[in-house]
Amino acid sequence: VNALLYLLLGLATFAALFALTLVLARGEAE
Amino acid sequence: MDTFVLVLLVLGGCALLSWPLGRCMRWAMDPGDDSGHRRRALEGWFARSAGASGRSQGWKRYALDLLTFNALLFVLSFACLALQQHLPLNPDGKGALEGSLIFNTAASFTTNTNLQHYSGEVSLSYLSQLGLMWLQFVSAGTGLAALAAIARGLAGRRDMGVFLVDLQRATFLVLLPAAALVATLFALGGVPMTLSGAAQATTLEGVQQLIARGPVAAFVAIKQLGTNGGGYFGPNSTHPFENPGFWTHLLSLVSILVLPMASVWMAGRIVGRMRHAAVLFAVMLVFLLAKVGTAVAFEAEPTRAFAELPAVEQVDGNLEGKELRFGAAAGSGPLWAVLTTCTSNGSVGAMHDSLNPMTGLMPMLGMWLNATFGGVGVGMINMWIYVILAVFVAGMMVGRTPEYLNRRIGTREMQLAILTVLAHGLLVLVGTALFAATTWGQGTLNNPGPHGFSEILYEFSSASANNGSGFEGLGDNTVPWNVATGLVMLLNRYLPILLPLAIAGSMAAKRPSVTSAGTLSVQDATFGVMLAATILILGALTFFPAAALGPIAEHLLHHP
Repeated sequence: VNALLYLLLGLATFAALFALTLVLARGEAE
Repeated sequence: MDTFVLVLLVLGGCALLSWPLGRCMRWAMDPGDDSGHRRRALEGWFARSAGASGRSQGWKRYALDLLTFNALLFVLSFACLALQQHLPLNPDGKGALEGSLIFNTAASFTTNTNLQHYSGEVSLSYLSQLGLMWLQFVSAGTGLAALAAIARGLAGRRDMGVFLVDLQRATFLVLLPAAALVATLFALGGVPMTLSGAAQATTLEGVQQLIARGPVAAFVAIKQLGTNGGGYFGPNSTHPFENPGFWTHLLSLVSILVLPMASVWMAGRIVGRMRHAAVLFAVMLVFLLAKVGTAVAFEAEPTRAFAELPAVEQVDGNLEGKELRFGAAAGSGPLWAVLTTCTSNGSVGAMHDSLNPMTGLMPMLGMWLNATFGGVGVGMINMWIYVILAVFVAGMMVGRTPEYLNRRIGTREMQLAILTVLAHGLLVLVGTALFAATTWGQGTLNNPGPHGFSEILYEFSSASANNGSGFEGLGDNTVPWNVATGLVMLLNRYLPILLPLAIAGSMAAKRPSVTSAGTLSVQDATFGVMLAATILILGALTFFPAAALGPIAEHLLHHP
């Protein structure tokens, strides 16, 4: 369970980076 | 060997080698339409392997593919480390790792950092070590792929390539052949290459001793070439099985520097501006020489640690934490320390914690600027950010619209470039401040005062620059350290790739302008000086206060 929480932390960081990419792409389109 | 000769041999040799290697890397990464029959067949295979994403991509698709692949790497390496006790290739029965250490290690190797809060020979099975070695290939390949894509964008090509195709080009055509050659040379130089378990030996006193070994030659080759730096053994390249003697030492030094240098020429060829690439190469080389010269000069002073010991006579500079097997006495250590930090490599050839204070500042400077050749691919990307800032500042100074490679630099590009530079400074300084002010950092220090502060500052600098070397003297295998540096590594690996990708995509979409007498030239010495000044001013404004509290304060304490 402990390790799974850390795995989720890593995945959440990647999710934030995905979101940032989409925000940047939207900013470019506008 | 004299330090001067060693510096000349390594830097000069790498600079000479980098030119043809840059040409090969351009051939590998951006083959063009006039490739031969065999190459076209290979490209077809790469495209088929890339599957549905084998079609040409804009920056957004490229960035998302890069992130998806790297997220997958993180999950796979995490699983491999978390389950190593149940998996094969574990002849010495290595047990489970603690959760935060798994997070830190998976983040570290996915991001090409290789910060290690463990000793490989103590904690990891052979499968885990081989898994990390695989990451050393593909993480370096990710950097090289990103550089190729950004170069295409800056050259005005809207089609920035296909990430999975670029990754295969980087891995199979650049890194794998180079690593096979260097690994063979390491094995010939005495580095072990075996899947047998630890060797058992009987000492002269009759005691049984286990001697760790494994597929070390293969690991060390890509560790150096891919600017990874993670050691097979805890002591990294000071361990006699990773670096048995002078010739393997020389081979390591060349392997650390040669691909980052060649990346500059590769990028220059892709954008079709070799004179501009030569200016960037020269600026990087001048910075590198200045840092090596300063480090070697300050290390010629004996260490203060032995000053109170009357029996110790120090006539050859600071020998604390140095391996004399590598020759060059005190000069070899600072040379390695500067090269490994300027190139985002992070392998260690001397104890950085034992360097004299101002010598220790040079590796930190390398990580703060992070563009003195930098990591494979990413160092040149970082330099491009500085170039865009320098072009903008120069344009403002002379009252002209800033243009780079015939594309106008607008507000959006500047915002993204500033964000890239700020992210690095923020992650280093906020992390350092937090840990210096709390027991998270204070409770793990081995030294009080400015040196302790330097240990914290170095650790965050290393994580944020994706370097991975340690100042050491720090008990860093704790939950706060593992989590904080793990997050810093992840954020500052991908932000300086995603934001420049967006800049390149934005530049590629612009209408090209015509070169006129009013266009700022980026391929002469004047621009080189402007660029160097921009880098220095930005670096000083961001990091000087922290440097003053750490290594500079420590130096002044010893020289009142």
